[in-house]
Amino acid sequence: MSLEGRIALVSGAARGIGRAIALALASDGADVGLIDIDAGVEETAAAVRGLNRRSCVARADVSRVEEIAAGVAAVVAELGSIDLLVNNAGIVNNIAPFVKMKQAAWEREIGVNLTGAFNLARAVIGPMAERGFGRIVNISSVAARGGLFNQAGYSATKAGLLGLTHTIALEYARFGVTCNAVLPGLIGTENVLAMPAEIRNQAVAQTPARRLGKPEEIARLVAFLCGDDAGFINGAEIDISGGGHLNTLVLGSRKELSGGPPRT
Amino acid sequence: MGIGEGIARTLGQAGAHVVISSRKTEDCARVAQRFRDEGLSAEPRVCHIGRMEDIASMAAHLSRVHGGLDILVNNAVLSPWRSIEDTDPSLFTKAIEVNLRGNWYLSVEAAKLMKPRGGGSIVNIASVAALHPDRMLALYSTLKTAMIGMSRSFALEYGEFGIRVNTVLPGVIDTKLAAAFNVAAREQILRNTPLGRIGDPREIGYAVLYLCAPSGAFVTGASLVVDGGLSIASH
Repeated sequence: MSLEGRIALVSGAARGIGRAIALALASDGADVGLIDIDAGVEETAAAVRGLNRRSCVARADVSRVEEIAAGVAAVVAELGSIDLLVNNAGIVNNIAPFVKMKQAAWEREIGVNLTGAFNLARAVIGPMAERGFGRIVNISSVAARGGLFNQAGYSATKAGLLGLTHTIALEYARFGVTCNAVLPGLIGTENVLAMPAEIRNQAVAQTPARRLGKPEEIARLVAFLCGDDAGFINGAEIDISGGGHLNTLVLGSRKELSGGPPRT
Repeated sequence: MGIGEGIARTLGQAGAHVVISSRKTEDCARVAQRFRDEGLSAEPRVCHIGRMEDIASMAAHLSRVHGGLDILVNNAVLSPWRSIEDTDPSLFTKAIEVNLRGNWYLSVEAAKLMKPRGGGSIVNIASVAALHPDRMLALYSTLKTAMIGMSRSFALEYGEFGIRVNTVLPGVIDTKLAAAFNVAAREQILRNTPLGRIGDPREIGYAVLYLCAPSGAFVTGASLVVDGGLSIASH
């Protein structure tokens, strides 16, 4: 198994893409530490153990640096030093026209989606560099490039993750640490399945593959990037969207674009 | 071992039957024989993709003998070392015929063979030169950029048939071409590559394998840079 002996840490692992990533890394042989604020993360840990891999949980808010320091220390004490970090935790709590966006919601989104990745990477990268090996994968989004109506915060944080990815890749390559970004399109997670069907169906119709992605498909890409076969991939941004990123109009933006001047 | 052979070996080792294609009959035969000696399933089939009749004959062969195609890797390329001023129209036309027209029509034929099977995977091998052009390689760099546009357009149009089209952009890889660099150029490359090494042809193969395997089933129209970080260090 390609990740045998590796120790991974996945944030936002209670549900959806994060849970699928934890299970994919475990099926490839890694032990997997899990970070989430949601109690559901215990179930993911049980599933990892069901694959005969070690797992442990840190209930922590990725936006709070002291919680992350304590959480990572607890995982390292239990499993050992982290070889693979997957920054997956992300929220969409802030859907509003630009000028109506609440300041606190903006800051929360930046805190979880961008500062969270910064906090976690800084908590694990020193020992990675000392041992001369590490893999960091940041889960961005096609929204990093395309923008999304009424989601300035989400879009900005996902674009911010690309800058973070490039810089970590540049600074740490010489220490054997690579850092890459994965840009999912529309994936059939609980959140996406809870979207109005009309908007979702329109997006699917505009996606060349004519379907939603599966969390497991994102997970396989992350597992590939964590494996030895991907050792020369560093600083890359990889779209995984069924071709959705090739279109300009998805997620209800057609209606907005034809709807006259923006509301203030 | 060139990048093409590295890719072919990775796909062969993963269980695919590989048609080893190149414009030189003896090169195809030598590599295919080596693969068979290694216990892989391979056959030689000469094809100069600059010639439309060769593309037609390859498509007919694949249809007649194999009943279709699952994977196409467009790796063949002409890379003339020439300043822009010295690039005469006949060289320009020849490069377009191979690097653009050849890949395009081979893809069109491949897609026809993939459609009845419910899908397939096409991988175009471009280069980081598509993003950051090299001096003396203007024509090569330009046509590598065109390859990205071609991949994205094919991905858009063939997605509904289950045919995925992606681009791999290698950085500096340990091939005959890279071995020809002088010591100073080699040191410069290593300095500019964050990982501090050049890549192995097999590492391009692994990326292609990921894109062609079922695990890559939702990836289409993507550009996968495999360059040790070279392109993020050069802007």
